[in-house]
Amino acid sequence: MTTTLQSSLQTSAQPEPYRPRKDYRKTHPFLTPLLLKTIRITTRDNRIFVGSFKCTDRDCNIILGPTHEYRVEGGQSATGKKVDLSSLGRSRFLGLVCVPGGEVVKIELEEEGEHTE
Amino acid sequence: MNDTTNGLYNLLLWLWSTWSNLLRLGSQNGTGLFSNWGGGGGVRRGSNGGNGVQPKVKDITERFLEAARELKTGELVQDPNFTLLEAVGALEIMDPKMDSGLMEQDAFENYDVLAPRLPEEIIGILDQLLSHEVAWHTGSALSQTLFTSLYLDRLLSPAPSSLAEAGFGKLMHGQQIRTFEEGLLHKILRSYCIGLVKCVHHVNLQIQLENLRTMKDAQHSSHCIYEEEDIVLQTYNVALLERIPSSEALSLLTETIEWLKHIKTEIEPQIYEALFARLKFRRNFLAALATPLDNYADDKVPTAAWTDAQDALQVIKETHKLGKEVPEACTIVVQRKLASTVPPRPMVEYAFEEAVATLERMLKRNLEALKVLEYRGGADLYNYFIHFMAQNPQPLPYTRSLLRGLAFNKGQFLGKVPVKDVVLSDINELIFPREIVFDPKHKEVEMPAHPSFKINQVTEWYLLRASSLYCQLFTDQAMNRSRFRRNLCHSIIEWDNFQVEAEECDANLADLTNETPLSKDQSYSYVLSSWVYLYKLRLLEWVVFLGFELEIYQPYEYSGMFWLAQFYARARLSHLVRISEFSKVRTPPSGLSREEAQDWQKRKLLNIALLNYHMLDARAIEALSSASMSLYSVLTHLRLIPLPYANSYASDELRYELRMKPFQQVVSPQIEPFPRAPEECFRPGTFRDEFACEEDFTEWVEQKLEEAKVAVSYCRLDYNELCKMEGMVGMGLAGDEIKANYKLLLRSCVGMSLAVMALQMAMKKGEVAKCEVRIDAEKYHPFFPVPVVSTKK
Repeated sequence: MTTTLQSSLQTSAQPEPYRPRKDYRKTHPFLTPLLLKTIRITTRDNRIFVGSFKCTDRDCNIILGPTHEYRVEGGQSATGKKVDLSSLGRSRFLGLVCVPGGEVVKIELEEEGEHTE
Repeated sequence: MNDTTNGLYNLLLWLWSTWSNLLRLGSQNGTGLFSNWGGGGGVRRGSNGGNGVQPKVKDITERFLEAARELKTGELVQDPNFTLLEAVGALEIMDPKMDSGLMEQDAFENYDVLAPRLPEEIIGILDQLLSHEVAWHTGSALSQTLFTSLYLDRLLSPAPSSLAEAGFGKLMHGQQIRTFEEGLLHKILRSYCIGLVKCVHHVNLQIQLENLRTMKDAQHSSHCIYEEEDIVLQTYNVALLERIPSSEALSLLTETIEWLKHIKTEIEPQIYEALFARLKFRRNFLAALATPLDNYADDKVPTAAWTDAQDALQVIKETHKLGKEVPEACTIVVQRKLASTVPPRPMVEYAFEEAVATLERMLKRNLEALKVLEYRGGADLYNYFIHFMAQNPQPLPYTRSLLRGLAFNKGQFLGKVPVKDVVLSDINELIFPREIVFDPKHKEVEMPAHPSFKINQVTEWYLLRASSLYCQLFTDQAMNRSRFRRNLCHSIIEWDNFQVEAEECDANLADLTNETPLSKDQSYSYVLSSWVYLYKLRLLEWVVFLGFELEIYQPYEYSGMFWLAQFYARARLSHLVRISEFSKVRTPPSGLSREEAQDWQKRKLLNIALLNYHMLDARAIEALSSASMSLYSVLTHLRLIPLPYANSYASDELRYELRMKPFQQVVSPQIEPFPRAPEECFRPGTFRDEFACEEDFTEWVEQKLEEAKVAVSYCRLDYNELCKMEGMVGMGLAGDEIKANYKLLLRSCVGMSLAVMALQMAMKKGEVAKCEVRIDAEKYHPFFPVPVVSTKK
C-alpha cells in the first residue's frame, strides 16, 4: 500500500513530495526472524515483560506489542534460573511498551511447542 | 435484587463492555483493535500452569545484544507493519512519569490491613471512602479514588466469587467474632466496603445500560452517539463483586447493623451513633441503587431508601469530627497493579464537606427524579426535563441516567406509554388539529384506494418519524450542557428536513380531507408541519441561549446573538398566532353527544389557553432579547465592552460566518447573509465610524436606549404576569421550577433596566467616558447576563 501511495505521489506533478528515509529499516539475519515472536524481557527491577517483538535498535531499546507484566516478588531473582511465569500469580496487561536498552537484564524467546523438562 | 433481571443486566453489560473495549482501545494504545484480546489481568494464554502446557523458553540475551550492536545508530530492525507513529504511543518502562509499575511498593507492603484499628480510625477510613466515592461520581477515575484504598484492594484482589470469600483475610472462615475490636474491622468495615463496591457496580451498570439504550434508540437517526463522558466507567479489570447478589450484601449490612445494636452498651454512645449512621446510609444507598428500573414501574419505588439515606447522611456530617484520619490506608501505589495503559495519576483529594454537599444534592435530585413517575403528558415531561437538566450545578451522571432511564423504558415513556401516543397527545394539545386527521377509525379501513387508508398511511409515517426525533430530544438533554448544545445543532437540521417532509404530508392531507382553507388568505392549516416548526424554533432559541449559559460568546458578540434570539422568538410568536387563528375558528364535529361536545369545548379552551401562554412566553423572550440587543450594541459602540483584537486573520464577516454556521443551514427561518445582517449588531469595530458626526452617534445611542427601556418595561409586565400564573397546562411536574425560572428572568429584566437607566443618566451628564461595565452572569438568568454599569471614581 505504501508503494502505491508513493508512486501515485511521484507521478503527480510539482512539488517534490516528502518521502521518509527508507534506509533506516535493516534486515538482520538474527533479529529479523525474531519479529512478531513472543519474547520475555527481564528488567533490572525484577519485572518480566512478555509480548511480541516489534522493533529494536543499536542500544537494544525494545518495543513489545500487547504486553503483560509479571513481577518477581520477595527477593527471588529473575536473572537466575528459569522462572515459571505461572508461579508469579497475576499478570497485568500494559499494551504497547518500550523497554530502554539500559534496563534489560535478560531476553528470552518463547518457542512453539511444549516445554519438556 | 431480582435474579433474572440481574442475569439480563449482566448479558447487556457484557455486550456493552465488549463493544466499548473495541472502541476505546483503538485510540488508547496505538496497537489497534486486537491488542487487548489477551484481556486485562489474569494469566496469559500458554503460561497457565494449571493445564501443564509450558512454552519452551530459550535465553537469547547474548546473541541479541551482539546482534543489536551490529546495527548502526539510527537503524532499526522493525516489523514492517509497525509504524514509528504507533511507537509514540508506547508506554516507556522505567520512566517514572509513565510506568506505573515503577512505584515504590513500601507503602503497599508495610500497611497491615488486619491490624486492629481504633473506632475513631474506622470512622476516618469510612469517611475517606465516602469522599473517594463522591470524587468518582464527579468524574475522577477509580484508580485515583476508591481503588487507592488498601482495604478495597485487599477485598477485591483475589476476585472473590462469594460473600464468604470477600474479606480482609483470616478470621473470616467460620471463626466467631467476639470483641468489638475484631468486629470493627471484620464486620463493620468489611460489610461497608462490600456495600460500597456494590454501589459502584450498580451505578456503573446503570450508566452503561443507558449508554447502550441510547445507542439502540439512535440506530435509525443519523445522530452521532456519545457515551456519558462525565464519569469514568473503567474498572481496570477489577471485578466489582458482580457474582455476589446485592441482596446478600444488603443482608450482610443489616446483620452488621443488628450486631452493632446488640453490643450497643459496650460502645461510647457517640461512636455508636456515628458507626450506625454510616452503616445505615450504606444499606439504604445500596438498596436504592440496586432496585432495577423496571421495578419502579411496578410501584416498587425506593423512595424510603433514598430518604433514609438522606437522614443518615445528616448524622454522618455531624459525626465526622469524631473520626481520625488514616492517610496511609490509601495509596496510589495500587495503580501498579491495575490493568491500565495510562501513566500513573495522582490521588484525587476531595474534601469531605464538599463530598457530603455533593452527595446531599445527588440524593435530593434522585428523589426529585422519581417525580417523572407521576407522568401527566408529554409536554409536562418535556418541561420537567428542561428544568431538571438546567439546574446548576448540573445533576451528576447517575442522576441524569436515572431520570432518562425512568422516563424512557423499553422504548416507551415510563415503560408503558408508547412515544407515538405522547407525540399525538402533544400535537392535540398544542395544535388542536381537526379530528379527521388523526381519527383512529382510519386504521380499520383496508382498501388502499379509500381516502381513510391514505390518511392513515400519511399520519402513521409522520408519527413514526416525529417519535424518533422527539425521543432524541430527551436523550440529548440527558447529556452534559456542552454536548447538549452540540447535539441540538445536529438535531435542528433533522427537524428542518422533517418539516419539509411534513409539509408534503400536510398538502396531501388537505386534499384527502377536503379541508376548507381560511377565507382571508386561502391558506390551509398545515397541522403536521406546524408542530414541527414550533419545536424547531424552540430548539433554535435554545442553541442561541445555551451559548450564553456556556459562555461561548465574547461580550462584543452579545448584541448579535441577542438579535438572533429575538429573531427566532419573533418567528415563534407569529407562528403561534397563526396556529391560534386556526384553532379559534374550529367548530365541533357533527354527531357528538352532549358530554362529548362539552369535552370538545373544554379541550378547545385548553388549547387556546396553552397557546396564549406560549405566546406570552415568546413575547416576553422577544422583548427581553431586543432590549438586551439594543443595550449591548450601545455598550459595544460606546467602547465600554472590549472590542475583538484586530488581526489579519479575523474580520467581522468571518466571525459572522462562524457563529451562524449552525443556523445558516436551516431553511426556515432563513438567516440573512453577512452584508444584509444588522450592522449595529454584527460590526462591532466599524459601525461607529459610519456616523457623519458625533451628534448623530449620540442621537443614535439615545434612541437605542429608549428602545431598550420600552422593551424592558413591556417584558417586565409579561414576566410579572407569567410569575403569577397558576395551574397552567404543562406546568404540572415542574411547576415550581418554571416559576423560579420566570423569577430569574424577571431579575435579569430588572438588571437590564437598571443598566439602561444608568447609561441614560451618564449620557445626560456627559460622563460616559467615566463609566465602567462588568458583565454579571452569576446572579441573573444564565440566558441573560446583565451588564452592571458603574462610574469610575
